[in-house]
Amino acid sequence: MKKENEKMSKGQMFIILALVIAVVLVLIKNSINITTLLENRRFMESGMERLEFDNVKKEIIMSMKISPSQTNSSNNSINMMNFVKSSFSSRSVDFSLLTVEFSYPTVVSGVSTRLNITGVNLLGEDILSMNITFSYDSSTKNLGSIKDTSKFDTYFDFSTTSDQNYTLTVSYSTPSINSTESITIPVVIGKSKFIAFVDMKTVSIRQTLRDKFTETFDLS
Amino acid sequence: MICQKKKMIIGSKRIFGCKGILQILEAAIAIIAILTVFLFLFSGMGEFPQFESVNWKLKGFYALQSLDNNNELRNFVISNDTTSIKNELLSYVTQVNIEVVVCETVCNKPDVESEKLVSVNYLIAGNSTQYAARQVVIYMW
Repeated sequence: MKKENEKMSKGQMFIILALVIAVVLVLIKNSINITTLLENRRFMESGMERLEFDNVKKEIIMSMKISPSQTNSSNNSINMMNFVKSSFSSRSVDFSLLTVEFSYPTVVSGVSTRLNITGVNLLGEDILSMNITFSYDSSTKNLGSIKDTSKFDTYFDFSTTSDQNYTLTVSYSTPSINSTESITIPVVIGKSKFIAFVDMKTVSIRQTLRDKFTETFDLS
Repeated sequence: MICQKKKMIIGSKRIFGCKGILQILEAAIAIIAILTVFLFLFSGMGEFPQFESVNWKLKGFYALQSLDNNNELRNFVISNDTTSIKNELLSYVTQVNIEVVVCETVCNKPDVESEKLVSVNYLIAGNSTQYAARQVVIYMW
């Protein structure tokens, strides 16, 4: 009789064990939060994109510093920006950028100096109109429409007998945006400078990264 | 009563009696119950996210960044010395196969058959004296 009970209880042990395992499975299921794991992974991937974005920004600035001169800094940076766009497009990442670069030769007190302006539209769409206003004499240059991937250039003349901070106001519109940027141009007697304003953006399925920055370099 | 309380002996073999059959039945019920609970709980969870590929990418990128900070990367890249880059990277990126490609705009993918192949791109503009825009691509699998 005792043996029979033992055999019965051995069989029932399977059912009891199954219940225990089922409870453990429920506890495991509740402890695994797939949403949190997915968020963590997304966070890591976004971090990776941020690292690549910062790498691009650093190298664009680096391209301006290599053999700095009015011509080299501008040519190198614009070539680098085109290179970055090609690299991103081959990886199916949408990269857009607008740069406006300014340079002037060594300023001599009281002598007319030319402020050269060069830029490139890599916004992925045409600029319908662009105006640049120079605070020196409030003069404005209208650059009209600028096709996507096109370069543009213009200039202003100024004369000063002391160090000044002038402001260039760049206003532009595309089919999707209207934007106005104010860029400070430090003018120092006896110095030649290169100033670059860059507005860059990447769009991926995870996030949009955008950065606007102005870099100033002494050329002499 | 179908089940009788005695052992059945056929020839020299003893086969299960009633209690043996009950035990098998209970074990089967237990297994079915566990499987049902498992499927009910975990079948709708979707694919479990993989962290391996993104970890490799981060490791690869930081390794390139370290090489760059040590002023080693740029000259290797400009001289198209992928072997030196690979050798240096192997001290940072372990337990994974790597292949390094230096290219301009068009980068050829190495002939690697792996479902786990991931790549990291690192751009350089040149070194302090020479403009030479290149991209370094590390493939890991």
